[in-house]
Amino acid sequence: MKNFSSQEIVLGTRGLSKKFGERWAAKDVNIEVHRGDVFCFLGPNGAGKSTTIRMILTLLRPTSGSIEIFGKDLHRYRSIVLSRVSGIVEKPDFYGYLSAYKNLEILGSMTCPVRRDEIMESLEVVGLKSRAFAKVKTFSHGMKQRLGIAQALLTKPELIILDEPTAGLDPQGMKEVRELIKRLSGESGMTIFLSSHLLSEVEMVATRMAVIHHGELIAQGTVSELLDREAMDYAIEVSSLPLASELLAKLSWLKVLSAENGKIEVRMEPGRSSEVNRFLIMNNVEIFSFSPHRTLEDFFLKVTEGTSEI
Amino acid sequence: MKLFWFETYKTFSRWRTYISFLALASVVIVSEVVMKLSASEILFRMMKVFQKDFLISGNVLNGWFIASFIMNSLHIHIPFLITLVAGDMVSGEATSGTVRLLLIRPPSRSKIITAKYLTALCYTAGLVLFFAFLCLLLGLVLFGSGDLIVHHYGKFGFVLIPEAQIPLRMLLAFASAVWSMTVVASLAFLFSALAENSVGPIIGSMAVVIAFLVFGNLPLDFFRDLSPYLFTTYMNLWQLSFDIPIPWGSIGRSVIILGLHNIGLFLIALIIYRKKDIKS
Amino acid sequence: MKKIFLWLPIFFLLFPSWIRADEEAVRYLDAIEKKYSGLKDYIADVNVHFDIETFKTPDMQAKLYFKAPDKMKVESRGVFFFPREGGYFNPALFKKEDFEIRVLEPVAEGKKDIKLKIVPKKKEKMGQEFILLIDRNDNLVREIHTSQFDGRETKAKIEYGRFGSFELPRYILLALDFPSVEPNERRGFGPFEQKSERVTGTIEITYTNYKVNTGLKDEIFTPK
Repeated sequence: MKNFSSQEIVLGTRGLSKKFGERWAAKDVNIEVHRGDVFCFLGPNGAGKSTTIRMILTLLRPTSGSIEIFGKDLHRYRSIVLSRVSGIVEKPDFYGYLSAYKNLEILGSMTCPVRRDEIMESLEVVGLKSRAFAKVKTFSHGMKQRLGIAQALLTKPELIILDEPTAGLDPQGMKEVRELIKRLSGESGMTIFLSSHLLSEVEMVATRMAVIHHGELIAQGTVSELLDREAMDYAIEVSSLPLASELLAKLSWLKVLSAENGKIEVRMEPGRSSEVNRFLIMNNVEIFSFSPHRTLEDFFLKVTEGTSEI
Repeated sequence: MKLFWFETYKTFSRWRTYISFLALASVVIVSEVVMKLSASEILFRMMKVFQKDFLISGNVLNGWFIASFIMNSLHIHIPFLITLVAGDMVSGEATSGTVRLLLIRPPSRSKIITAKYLTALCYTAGLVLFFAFLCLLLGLVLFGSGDLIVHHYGKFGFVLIPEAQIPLRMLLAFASAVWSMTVVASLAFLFSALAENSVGPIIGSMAVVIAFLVFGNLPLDFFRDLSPYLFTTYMNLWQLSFDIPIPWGSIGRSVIILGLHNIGLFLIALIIYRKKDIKS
Repeated sequence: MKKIFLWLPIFFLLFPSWIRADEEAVRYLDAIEKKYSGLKDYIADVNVHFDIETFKTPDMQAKLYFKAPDKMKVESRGVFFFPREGGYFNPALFKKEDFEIRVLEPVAEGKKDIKLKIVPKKKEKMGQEFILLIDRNDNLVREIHTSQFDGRETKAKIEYGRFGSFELPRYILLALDFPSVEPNERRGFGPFEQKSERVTGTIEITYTNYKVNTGLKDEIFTPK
């Protein structure tokens, strides 16, 4: 495992903006990706995720703002910077009339010399070694997705940028990609910047994340920071539902969401669960279970709908 | 250099690249076989204007003549076959989606597009030379060798190139033909850099070639004044190789004008593509 | 009636001279034919030089075979263009059976040349007429002027040399004046019609290495 400073900013954008005609697809996006992060970029469809990724990978010219990768300005040092970066933008498409091996050889060699054994190793990592010399046009979507990851890994980049890496994959494929991402981050020390719609997946792999909506960044930080910042929901199983509801309704810093089937759901600031616990017990309400009910999805929907209460 | 080899490999790995070569081979083989079967008729038609006044002997209908005769149709079918590949060179990457993997590599867009352009030129050269050499070789096999008569149908006059001088002049003709066709490739390449699919560049290039050919041949003063500025005017540059003496001045002027077209078209493609947003 | 009696004597005065002119013309040609009656065949090396703007070619060489009365063949390594009219020597070219022959200009005082006008009788050769300038002292055709109905004109001047016992052409200078485009090949119409231009120039034909009366066989002249 490499020694690196976890505070080192591998990818940073300052005021990154892109306008198409009169519409701002991305406006004033400021992102910091630290070395070793699995940084997830979240947003609804059309939020500006792909636009931002395309600007980082120089497929789009920013209207304004700057991008620095490894401390170097991307547009001045493009060639040097991109030799340490690889990525997939949306669906990975290859030269269908060439074999998987040849595709990797051509694409990989554009970054650095690649040996046959390195190509075969990349294919083996994604489970495509047996299809190395088959034409890519015979591949399924899932196989192409895996081939995309193979080409991203081939040149041993320090930063990988993945746009929806599990799109179109079956559950098994998704699991394999998630585990690969964790392995790459943990074992190889790669920094991974990915966008995804699958919040459960992001929750499982991300160390840091940012949320973009209507082209603007609305939240950024570690997952736990972001989730702790917001109010949490709890489900409390009690002996007496009416009594518990009546008691909890008196607390101004708590909101009763529902009370049915022996469970009462409440929303309150994080870190005050022990107070609720003590309060109910002191008022002769038995507590059978007390569990947080807050997910990333809730957080995401809340921030993107603008209904965050705290 | 590496990029150029990759682009060449990609181009020549596609079966559609070989359609052009097959089509040309068919045209040449069928034409020459039919000409062999109709040799006397062709000779009569060709020499009709002279036969009243001259007895003609010698192998007039020889391989050199056949090659130059078929090459007169160069500007009809070759441009279309060139645009099939050159017009797909850049836009094909957008259509297939491979542009998203290609342009995120370290090599700059300038290098990538230059490599593609050189590949388009090489393909053009390969196609024209294939056509020319096939015409010639098959012609020599079927019709034998001899002096070359260059004659404009119906006109009382001809140019006779002695057999010994023909090979070098043919090489000059082939090189000129390649050079004149590179402008078609450059035009198709420019359109390809602007478009997101290949159909537009192919049709657009052919439309320009056809329109310019028509304009250049209309016997009106306006178009006569315009024709020196149309690249199609120089598409028959190769024919100057068979004049006596070889008009080096005209050839040089035509080469420069076509070269300027190539440079201009490529630079426009380069400048536009460097700034282009890749949304596909 | 008075007018008829006036024209009749004029007619009878002149009529004998017309008859005399045709007979005289034929006599000159007969003399030439008789001079070459011993010429059975000949072979010669021919060099043709074109001095015509629209004919861009180096000199052409060939071997010419001739066998009386009218067999002719040209053999060449390369392409060879040989003028039909006035290009080669055939003493029996103008037969009185095939042509109407008249004296065009009588012999002038002190001049040895006479001009004959020759018009073909045969339908397929109609549209052509020839004017021969004959040296009646040496019985040699010095010039042949050919005119055709489509505007083509050629004028051949012949110089002779002695080869064996015969005087045969050693040099012919052919002057051409032709339209550049055939009438039926002219392109365009109205103001766009291709303009008719004339092609003028000369062709020089040089004959060397004569071999006379070598006994050429007819098979040589059979097309392969």
